[in-house]
Formats: sequence, structure tokens, C-alpha cells
Amino acid sequence: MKNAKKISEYVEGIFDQYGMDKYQFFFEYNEEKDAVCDIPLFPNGEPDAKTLDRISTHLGITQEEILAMDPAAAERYWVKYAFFPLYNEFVDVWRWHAQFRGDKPSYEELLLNAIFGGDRSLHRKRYNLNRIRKRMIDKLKEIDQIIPGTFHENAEITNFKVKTETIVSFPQCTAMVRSFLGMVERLKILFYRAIKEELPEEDRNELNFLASYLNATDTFLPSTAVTYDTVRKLRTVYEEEQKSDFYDYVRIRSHFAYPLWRCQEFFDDMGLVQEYENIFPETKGELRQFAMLISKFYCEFIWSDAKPITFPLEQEQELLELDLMFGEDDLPLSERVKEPTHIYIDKTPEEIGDDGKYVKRILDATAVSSKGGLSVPRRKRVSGAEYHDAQVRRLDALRKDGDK
Amino acid sequence: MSELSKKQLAGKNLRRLIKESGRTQQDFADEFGTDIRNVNRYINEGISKVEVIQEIAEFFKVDFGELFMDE
Repeated sequence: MKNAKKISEYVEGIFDQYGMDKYQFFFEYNEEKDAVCDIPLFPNGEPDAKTLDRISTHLGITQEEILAMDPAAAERYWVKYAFFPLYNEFVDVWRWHAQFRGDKPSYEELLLNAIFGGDRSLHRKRYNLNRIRKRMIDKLKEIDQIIPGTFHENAEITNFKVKTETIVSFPQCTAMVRSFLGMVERLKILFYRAIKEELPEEDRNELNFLASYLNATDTFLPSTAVTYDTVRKLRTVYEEEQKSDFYDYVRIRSHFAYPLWRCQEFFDDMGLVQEYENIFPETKGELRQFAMLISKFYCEFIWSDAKPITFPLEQEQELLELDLMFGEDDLPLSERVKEPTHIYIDKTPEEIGDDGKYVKRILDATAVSSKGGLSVPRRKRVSGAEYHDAQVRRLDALRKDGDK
Repeated sequence: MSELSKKQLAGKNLRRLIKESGRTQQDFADEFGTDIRNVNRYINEGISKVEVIQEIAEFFKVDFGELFMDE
């Protein structure tokens, strides 16, 4: 029992070190409690073969190493890929510098300055919210000339909020992204090799780890990671399909709370940006929104005379049906929340400050591709029937292999 | 011109900009980072939200007013 606890701590430490999702290992959804609850790693209180196999596959370390709580095994991929230590550093830098505040000092700053004197700021960026508000009113009046009704002459602006982003500097960014792309490349190599031949244990483990860490799943089985065993079971299907693009077989899903593109140096090498985009096609859309927020303020407010929120007829009908289903009365229109207004206000050169030289670069990269923006890789679109057939072929192959 | 027709004008100009860029509506949805259903709605029902029009203008590198041009 004591041993199980120590092994469990060792395993949890690896999950934490790499920032991997612990769901279904250390916690899962409990239907009765309707909440996510902690669960023991070993359900019987002792290390069992089934759980050890799951952990071993997920983390890419052998069962013997898990039982021996081998520190070198825990560090294996941390040492192999510079990405991991660099990403940790990057997150720390980002958390510290990317915050912004209004021009009034926070309580922490007041306290700090009362103790130590001076005028310390805990935040890299400070903006004068009154000036932003004034510029927003001017902008509303300007747009009112094009879209009458944008500016409400006799109403008050309430619930005024401003959202923006800054872009931090992380000089090791290129090395971090290159190492990440190296992991993806290694996954590809091991994946194709596993289709053709049996791999030695070291490579099997690495493929397993990369499949877990990169959230790499079969394109047609979105919850099936392309671990070594899965690839071997599906190899005949893969060979028969003869797809030319790796991403027709495998999907990689970004899971970063702090995406790698959140730093200036990412945009020093647009070839690198495009390589990243080729792995994660959704990046361009995310980058575009980020570009809007580093070059502008996203203002939100509610006009005092705003109308309550309404939805298109179809959605209103759905809401009504939901109310009926739960036995609730439909909320009268007058009691609904009022419609908020959103508008972007350009930052001045002073407000953009050091971010300036990167802002244009990012806005250009996220513009339409016909005007020089990044191109979004075209993933092959398949019809519902084709998708279904591909899925059945895979499930059959997995089942057949399981019957052996 | 009524507000509704302004909305529709923005939708019509979005369709023109997509066409001029040599892209399909699906390409635009992918590059812009939105769902194709939103794009269909913008084009067929119009665009009422100022911030969406600002984003589209920035994406196509055109002036905000160009989304309201009536040929």
C-alpha cells in the first residue's frame, strides 16, 4: 500500500513535470455527484498490471521503470527535447510580463511603495482608461456617420471594460519552437516506421510518449491516440489507404494554455510560423484575434438605453423549448440582460511601445493569404459516408487484433 | 438608408472581397478562424456587429467604409 502511494506520487510528478492532462488517471467525472472527483491511480490499492500498462503507454516509460520509480526515466524526454525546460521558462516569463492594468496602482503596488518608497509598477504595461474611453466615444461618433444609430446621443455608457494583449519577449522562442517541431517530426518518423516494422522498445516508448503529449490521434478515431500498439493494429488499413499527407492519418491538437506564438521572437522567422501553422491550421484564426488585441483595445460597454438581448427566431424557439423542458417560465424580454456593444480602438504608438515593430508583422501574417498572409493548410475533407467507412475499417482492425 | 440595409451591404461586400481574393467561403472561414455557418449568415443576413466589420476590414486590409460601398 505504501509502495502504491509512492509510485502514484512518482507518476503524478511526471504528469506535472510535463504538464500532461491527469484526467482518467488521477481524477474523472462522477455521474452521481455530477462533478469531477479525485480517483486513486491504482483502484485496488496495489500496482496492478492493467494500470501499469496504461501508465507505461501514456508516459512512454517501461513498467519496470515505473515500479523502480526511476528518476532518469522520468527525465528522459525532458532531457532529450529542449522544448520542455524552455516552455516552462516561457510560461513564467509570459505570466509575469503579459499583464496589463489601468493607470491606478493596485493595492499590492501601493503597499510595496509604502514600504520601500518610490513608484514601482508590477506591470509592464499601463494604460490611461479615461483617454481610451474618450477615443472610443469619438470612434462611435465617426462610425455613426456610416452606420446611423451607432452613437446613442442621449444615453450613458455603463459597464465599460477594456481588453487588450501585449506581446512579451522570449529570446529562446525560436529554439523552443524548433524543438517542438522536432518532436512532431520525430512522431511522424516513428509513426511511418511502426507501419512498416516492429520497433525497438526505446522507440516504441518514445512514440507512445509523443502520441500522448502531442494529443496525436487517428484522424477518424478522435479519441484513439496513435500509440505504438494502435499503429501496429491499424498498419494494414494505413497501408491500404495510401494517403500522401501525414495529417490525413493523424490529427495533432494543441493543448497549450500559453500558445508558443505568444512572444515577439516567434515572428522573427515567418517560415517557422508557417511550419507551425501547417501543424495547427486553427493557429491563423487565433493569431488574427491576438493581432487585433495587441494593436487595439477591445472595448465593451452597455448603452443605458440598449435593447435587451434577442436571438434569431430559430434560437429563440430552442430557448423556449429548453424552458418548457425544465418547467421554467420564459424570461420576459424586459428582464433580459441588455445587449452589450463592442468596438476596437486603435492603440497610439506610445501605447503600443516596444510591441510596435512586431504589430505590423503579425497583422500582415494574419491578413488574407492573397495579400501575403499565412496560408492555411488544406486538410482533405471527406464526406460523411467516407468518414464512416474509414472509421469502420479501423474499428474492425482493432477488434480483429483484439480477438487474436 | 436603413440600418438593415447597412447590415446587408456589409454582407454583400464581404462576399465581393472573398471573391476578389480568389478564395471560397470555406477558405475565408478557415483563414479568418470562424465557422462556415457564421460566414453564410454574414453574407445572407448581413453583419450587424461593428467589431466583426472592423475585423473583416483589417483581414482584407481595406478601409472600414469599404464594407459599405454600394456599387
